[in-house]
Amino acid sequence: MTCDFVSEYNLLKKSTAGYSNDCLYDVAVLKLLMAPVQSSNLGYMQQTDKPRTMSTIDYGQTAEDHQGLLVLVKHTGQALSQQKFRKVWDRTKKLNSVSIPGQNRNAWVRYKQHYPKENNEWGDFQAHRKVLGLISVGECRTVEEFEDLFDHYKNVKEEYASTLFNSRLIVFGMNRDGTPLEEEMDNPVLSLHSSQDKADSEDSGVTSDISPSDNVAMHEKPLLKETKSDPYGSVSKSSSEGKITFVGKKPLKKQESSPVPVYQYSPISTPPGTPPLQRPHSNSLTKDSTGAEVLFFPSIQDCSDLEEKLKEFIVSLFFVLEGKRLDRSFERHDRIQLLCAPFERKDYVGLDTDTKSFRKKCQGRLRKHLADLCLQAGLPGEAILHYETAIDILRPVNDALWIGACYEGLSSAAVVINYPKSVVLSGLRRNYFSLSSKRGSSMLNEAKLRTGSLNNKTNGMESAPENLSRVAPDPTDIMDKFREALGHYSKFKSAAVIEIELSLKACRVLTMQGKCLQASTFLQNVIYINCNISEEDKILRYCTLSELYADIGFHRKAAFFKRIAAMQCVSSPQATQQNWSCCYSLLIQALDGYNISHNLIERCNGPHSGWPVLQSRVLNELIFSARRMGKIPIAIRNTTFMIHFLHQFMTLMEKRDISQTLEQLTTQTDDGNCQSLALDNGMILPPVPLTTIPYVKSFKLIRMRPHLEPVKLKRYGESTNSGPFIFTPLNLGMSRNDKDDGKMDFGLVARDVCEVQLQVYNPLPDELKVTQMGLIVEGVELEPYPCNPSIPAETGPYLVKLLCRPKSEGELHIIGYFTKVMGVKSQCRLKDLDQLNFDKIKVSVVPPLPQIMLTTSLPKADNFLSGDNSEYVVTSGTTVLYAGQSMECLVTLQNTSLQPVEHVDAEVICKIEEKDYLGQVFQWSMENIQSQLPLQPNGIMCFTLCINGVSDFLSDNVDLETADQCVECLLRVEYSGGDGLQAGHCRQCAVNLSVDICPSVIIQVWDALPAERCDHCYLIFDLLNASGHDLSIQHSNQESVSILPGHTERIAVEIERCDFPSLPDMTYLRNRIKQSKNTNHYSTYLNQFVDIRWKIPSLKASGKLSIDYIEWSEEQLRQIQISPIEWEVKLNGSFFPQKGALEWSVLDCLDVVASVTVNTEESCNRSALLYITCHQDDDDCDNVSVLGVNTAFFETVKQGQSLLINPAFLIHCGGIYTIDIKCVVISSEEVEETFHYHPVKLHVIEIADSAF
Amino acid sequence: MAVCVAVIAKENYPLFIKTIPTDNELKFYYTVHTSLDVVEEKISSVGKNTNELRELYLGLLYPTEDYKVYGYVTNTKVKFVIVVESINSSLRDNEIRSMFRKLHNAYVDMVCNPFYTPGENITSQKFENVVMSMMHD
Repeated sequence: MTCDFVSEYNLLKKSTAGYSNDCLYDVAVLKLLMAPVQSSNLGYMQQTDKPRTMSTIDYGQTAEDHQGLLVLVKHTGQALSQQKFRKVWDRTKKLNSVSIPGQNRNAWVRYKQHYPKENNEWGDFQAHRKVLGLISVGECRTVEEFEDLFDHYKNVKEEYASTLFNSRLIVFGMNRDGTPLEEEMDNPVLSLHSSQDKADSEDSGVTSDISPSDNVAMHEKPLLKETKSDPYGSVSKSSSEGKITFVGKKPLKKQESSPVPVYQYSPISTPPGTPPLQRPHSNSLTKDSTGAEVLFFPSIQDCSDLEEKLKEFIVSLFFVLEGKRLDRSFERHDRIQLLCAPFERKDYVGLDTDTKSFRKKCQGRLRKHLADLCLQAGLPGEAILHYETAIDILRPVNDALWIGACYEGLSSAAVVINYPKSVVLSGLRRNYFSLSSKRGSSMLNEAKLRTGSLNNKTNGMESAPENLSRVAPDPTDIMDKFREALGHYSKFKSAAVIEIELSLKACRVLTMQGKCLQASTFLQNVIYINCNISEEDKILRYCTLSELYADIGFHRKAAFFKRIAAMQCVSSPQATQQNWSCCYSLLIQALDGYNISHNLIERCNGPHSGWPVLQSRVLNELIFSARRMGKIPIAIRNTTFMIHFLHQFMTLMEKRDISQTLEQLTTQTDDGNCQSLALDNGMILPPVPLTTIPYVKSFKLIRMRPHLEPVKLKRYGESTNSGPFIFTPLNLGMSRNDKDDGKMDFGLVARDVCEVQLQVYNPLPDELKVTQMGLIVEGVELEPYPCNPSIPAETGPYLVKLLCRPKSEGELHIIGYFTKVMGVKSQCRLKDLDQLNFDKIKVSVVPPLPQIMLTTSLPKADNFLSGDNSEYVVTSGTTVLYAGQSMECLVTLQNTSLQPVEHVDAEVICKIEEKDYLGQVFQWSMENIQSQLPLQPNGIMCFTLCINGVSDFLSDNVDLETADQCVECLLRVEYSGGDGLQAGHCRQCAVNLSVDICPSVIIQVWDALPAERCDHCYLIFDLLNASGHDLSIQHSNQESVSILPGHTERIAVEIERCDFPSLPDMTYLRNRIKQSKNTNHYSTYLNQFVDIRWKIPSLKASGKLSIDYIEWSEEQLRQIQISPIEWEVKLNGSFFPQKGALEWSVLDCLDVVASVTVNTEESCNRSALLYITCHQDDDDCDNVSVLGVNTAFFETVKQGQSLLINPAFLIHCGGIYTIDIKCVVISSEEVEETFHYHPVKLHVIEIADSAF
Repeated sequence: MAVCVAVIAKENYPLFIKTIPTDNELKFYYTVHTSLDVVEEKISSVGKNTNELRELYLGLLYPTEDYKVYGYVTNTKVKFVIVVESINSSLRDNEIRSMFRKLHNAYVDMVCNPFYTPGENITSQKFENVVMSMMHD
């Protein structure tokens, strides 16, 4: 009993052994492991009584099949093509339910194309196993051909003669009257030939199939297999159908003496009320005494009444059956025959038939048979009653097999009543299958549909609806009845097939009821039932089990059996009988149960689900069978998938093995293997991108080097300051899980190389040679530079650079990369990489731009401070200047690209407050630059950069050492040309310039004094030599003055007094940061009159002193400014010296002559007061005696009028005195304006008396 | 006593599986793997009918020729499967229950280890010792 289950495990064990030894176990191992299974089966085969046992199991049988009339549809002759037969078959199949006129009942029909004779013999045991009708379909052109057809038809009919009720031969290609087409095309007379119904002594059991859909499923078994689960696709057809071949079976060359066949019309013995089915035909000739019914149709297109004819045929079958049923039910024979199952017959030979128990048996079995007929005749309620009676009769005589059959019939009838099927379902069933149903949902849905349709059923299926619900067992009891039947059957070894079919039927019913666990116990039972069946049947059995397990949602179990079935395909010890492609297609169906999906989208992102051990096992088997099939691309695909999917669970050896396998496989084909592969069964194997080998940790587009990166030209992008910049730490409206759009904030330039950097890991234990690796892009055509990195074993991160050159402008989308690893090409999309948080990289490519090389004639700085925007600095220059010194340097631009440079702009980049200052330090001529444009490829352009040692020449600091000033800035050159310029892009590069300005001369003290000429004045400077070298000063065409380092020299520069231009409006400066060093408005003006130059002979350096930064006091300014009053002051008759105080002595009289000329206009009614005082400090003192008038008032002062006053002072004591000369001009409006003369200091010395 | 003890994660991948004899490991892998169908069916059918607390012990999942497979599901949907030999008929249901309880306790102790991340394969020696004791009893 348990042989099969054991063998399954044998199989497993053996394959395990094979696996553990070698990943891809050898065929030899497989053969070996299959061997014991084979022999054990053979052993059973020998034991059994072959002809008596039903060996062909109908794995598709359902409980409803008990209701159907079995009709065989045969393809006859060679002339009819398969397609045409298929058409007829399809049309026939649809007629699975025929309503019987006047009976309010339906005849359910089950069509089959092949039915083994052995099974037919079981017809007595269960009536639905009997072939009741035969429809042969053929085609012919001539009468001779027709005869051949007819002979063949007759042969088939003979075969099933014992059970047939009626038969038809459908012939295409002839006129309806049976004459060849050429003769009469439009003969309207139907050529129906009656066949004499064989009044067979035996009962006929016709199953009444309720379900049209199931009918379809059943009769179309091979077809369904292909669509639904497909155990072995086309192979199954050849294996199961191949037994009966039409071709070449019948003798075609048979010559008949009489060319025209003659048919005899004999009315069928039908019950009263049946309309006559056959009409005599004028041309018909009696061909055969047994008679047959032949339907002629000119062609398949022209047979619209085929269904009508077939219906008539079915109705005829039904009435024969009905006749038998009625006949039996009122039969009360004393000597009734014992109905036997085929294997029982020999047991009853010579048995005493005259015992009571024998009679009981006869009676009970007959009653059971009657019940079968009732069920087929559409009276399930009546059938139940008969079954129950039969059980009661048989139970005392212990007829276990037949009691089992009664229970089976009972439950079938109960199913028929409880779950009546509507005709509408036929179209739906297929859809249910195609949807991968959850946990038996297809069946459940169907059950709902069916019970729902119970109420509105009008097609008279229930002849006695009022008592149906009463007699029928409860749905929950059905299972008990099935169990009961199973218990009885299991006592008979020869009834194994019946038992298996019962289990399957029960399972289907339970699945429909949604009782999955109970259904699974019945399926489990099927495994235990031992039955000698062929190898092909075993495959079918495992496949059926797998499907049924799948129906109840046991996908793992389903996968298990699919795999077993696959192993069965190749279990034969002869290589020729091993069907590897079948094995493969079964294995691939098993993958779902192991949570393996080839579909990238379905692949779950979470933790690895499934059982790696089992997964690797089934994948290894898959690969092996693909190799055996010789389909290398498929084997490569599977291997690739396995290494990708499972490498993290593999041991070192396994990894090594599978990589070697893959490498070896890929050498056998030069196909890159990145297309989807279609399998024979229509399944598509999508390409497997090896995204984990190598594993890409990061994928980064590198921006171009800063000096090459394109920037917007200023004139195009003026509104760089598009709005206020507001920063918020809140993450508003941005979901963190979203992949960002991958838009880069920088651009690339067409025809320039760009670079993507990848950090990759190699998970394999060997060095990974990536023979090709490059980018997959969209939007812009690329010139790729594939690379072939070799990644050391089990390392990472390893840097891989992928280069490419965009050929034109546009938006470039980098969507992934391609690799060729171990001979497998993969296209890895970024969106499939979970470790990256973007789907693609978007970057704009601007039109091609030129490229220049920037150099200066200055020595390069060793190091320089880098500012904020100094990335694009390409070179540097440094120099040392003394304050006031100037130098020139040459800046050279060389065009190194193939594009002409048409635009160059230069500017100094620095802090905004240094802008003015640096603008003075660095100066160049834009006109010079513009005049040299455009710069052709390889052309060179130079411009002069003036560097001025701008300094304030002042020092707040006494410490001279730290007075060095370092000026640093960038000279940024932006340039563009060609298409890039048109598009408003440019490149920028910069020189970092650093200038040390050393102090040369420092103005320590400055002053302004009146000169001898009253329109002149002296500017006095005390100059300090801070340069550390000997230094000479030259100014105003005078002798140069040399100053030693650290020494100070006073210099007086005589300038004309001047009118200062009015002060500039300084209000705009208020908002600006106070500048550290402000040039003085007056000094800047004065600077043009002062030309002081210095020279350091030892350094051959020279420069100009600037007085821009000197602050002048009010008094000093007054001296410099042109005064409205002209003074002419003489002390003791002479112009007093400018420098120092006047030396004087006590007792000497100081004679002061002050003459004032008022030059201002508007002098009417103007008066002036002029007075001279001499005082010590600020006090009026007694030490001075005034001689003469020191104050004078002038009534009216005219323009150009000189006012004169001439006092004398006598000073009594020594000390320092000041002579203050003041002139107050009073205008007519009483407004006083006071003018002061430069105060004259007197140094009075006391002279000793002895001098007198 | 037991010939195979397996702990299966909520997502139905194995966390721990121990068999004796070890040479026939794959057979038990298949047995335990297919038994998950029954476990799932049992869980889902209970979930549909009642909102009450279901019993953790699922009982006999299915008998095979040589073995009996028992199942147990924790409240966090971690599944325990124990396979015993059919010939060991002396084994009562109560004994199986106590084995599962023991296993559950050991599992809880193991999960309490802060260094264990739920969902990882179980490598705890202590847990393995408990399992071994159940198999050698």
